[in-house]
Amino acid sequence: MADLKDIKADVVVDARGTYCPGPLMELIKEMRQQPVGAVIEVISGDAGSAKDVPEWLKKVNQEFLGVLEENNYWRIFAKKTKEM
Amino acid sequence: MGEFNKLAIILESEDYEKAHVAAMIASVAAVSCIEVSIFVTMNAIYNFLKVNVKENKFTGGKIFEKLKEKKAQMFYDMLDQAKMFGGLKIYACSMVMDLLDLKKEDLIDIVDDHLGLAAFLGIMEGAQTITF
Repeated sequence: MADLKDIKADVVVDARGTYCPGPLMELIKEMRQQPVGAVIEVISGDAGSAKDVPEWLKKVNQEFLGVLEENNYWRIFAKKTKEM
Repeated sequence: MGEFNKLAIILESEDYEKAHVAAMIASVAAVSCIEVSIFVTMNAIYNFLKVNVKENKFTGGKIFEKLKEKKAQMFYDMLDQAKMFGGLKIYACSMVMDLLDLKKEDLIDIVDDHLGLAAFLGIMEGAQTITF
């Protein structure tokens, strides 16, 4: 896996201030609008979402690129690999 | 256990927290390719009345107070969003509607229809069922 710090997301969704499953729903909202191939970064202040979002991506066959833990928030990277 | 692709939720309690957790589970399931149906019955119907939603009149405990304080998304907004993203249907119990003389217009718009138990039992066929 390429170094996550080098990944440039096509779009960044700041979902801090929402509670589980808020960050996941924000990701879905954005992913529906983006074209296939787009890399989306979700910023979550909720620890659960860092585990939840990868689970969801696996379930719906979209790509999980990784997660970076920052101070008090998480940067979750996903790639839209097919239409939804 | 077979493939998990159908979920039925029976929402019976008026407790706000139960409506909230039901909405959380329903939302995540609906966006995970699971067909979700919620049956709103007994005291839970009060949380789906337009008049109560408009006045934010719910019965809840400590977590409800926290959710309000932190301005978390309300259960009905969560359900509304989930309906846009996935397969989620909400049905009100016909018996309770009759008992309280309610019409569909008295319920918030996210309610799709009202059903009797025979119809909801049909929906429950082959579904995982949770009751709140």
